[in-house]
Amino acid sequence: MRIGLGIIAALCCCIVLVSDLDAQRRGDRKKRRNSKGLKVAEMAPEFKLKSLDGKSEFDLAKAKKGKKPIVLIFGSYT
Amino acid sequence: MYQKYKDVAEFRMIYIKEAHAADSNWPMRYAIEKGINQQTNYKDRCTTAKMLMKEKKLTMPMLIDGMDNKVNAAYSALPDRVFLVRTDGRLGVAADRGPWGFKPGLKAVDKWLKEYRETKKEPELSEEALAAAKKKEKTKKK
Repeated sequence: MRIGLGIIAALCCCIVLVSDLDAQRRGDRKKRRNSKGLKVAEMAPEFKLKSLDGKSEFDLAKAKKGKKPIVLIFGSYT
Repeated sequence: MYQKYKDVAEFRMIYIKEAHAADSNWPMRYAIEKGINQQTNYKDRCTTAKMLMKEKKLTMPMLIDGMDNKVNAAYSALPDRVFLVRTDGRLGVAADRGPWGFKPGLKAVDKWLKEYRETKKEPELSEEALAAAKKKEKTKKK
């Protein structure tokens, strides 16, 4: 009886340990994913790109002087 | 959001390379259906961008990343990502990449611009974030 209880307790401990490790791993993965690239307060990398119609060029350095904050939304069709 | 805040902020959508093109290892079903492959030239990228603008009825000014994908790389933006650049050139919002970061990013931008409109001042950067950014800049210079 005592041996049986001991085995159950040991199994419970193992389950708790494994789920803890798994949660930690998930947390680490999330941290790595979130820490990729730029962060708040860092300087925005400067760039120049053409508009879709090809008629104008957007220069971030010049646009900043316009005294308006700039929202950049990156994406594609897919 | 563009319509809501275009009087207080500049908006630019930056069209970058396809994240889940039909010919990629992880294609989206609609990419296969519409035959959207990874573009191999700038003209094709513009054509797909125009298709997106038309289908989603987007009115926001759009820029096209070059075939060197330089801007995408500088901002680590793939598959999608939202940023807000303050007037001092620092990032006021730098959302996480991808679907887990996009909507929270838009929310953060909305919050930032709402405060900006109400107070006529840019929300301040936290001291910790600014210190960390300056430390990183110093390390880069060395």
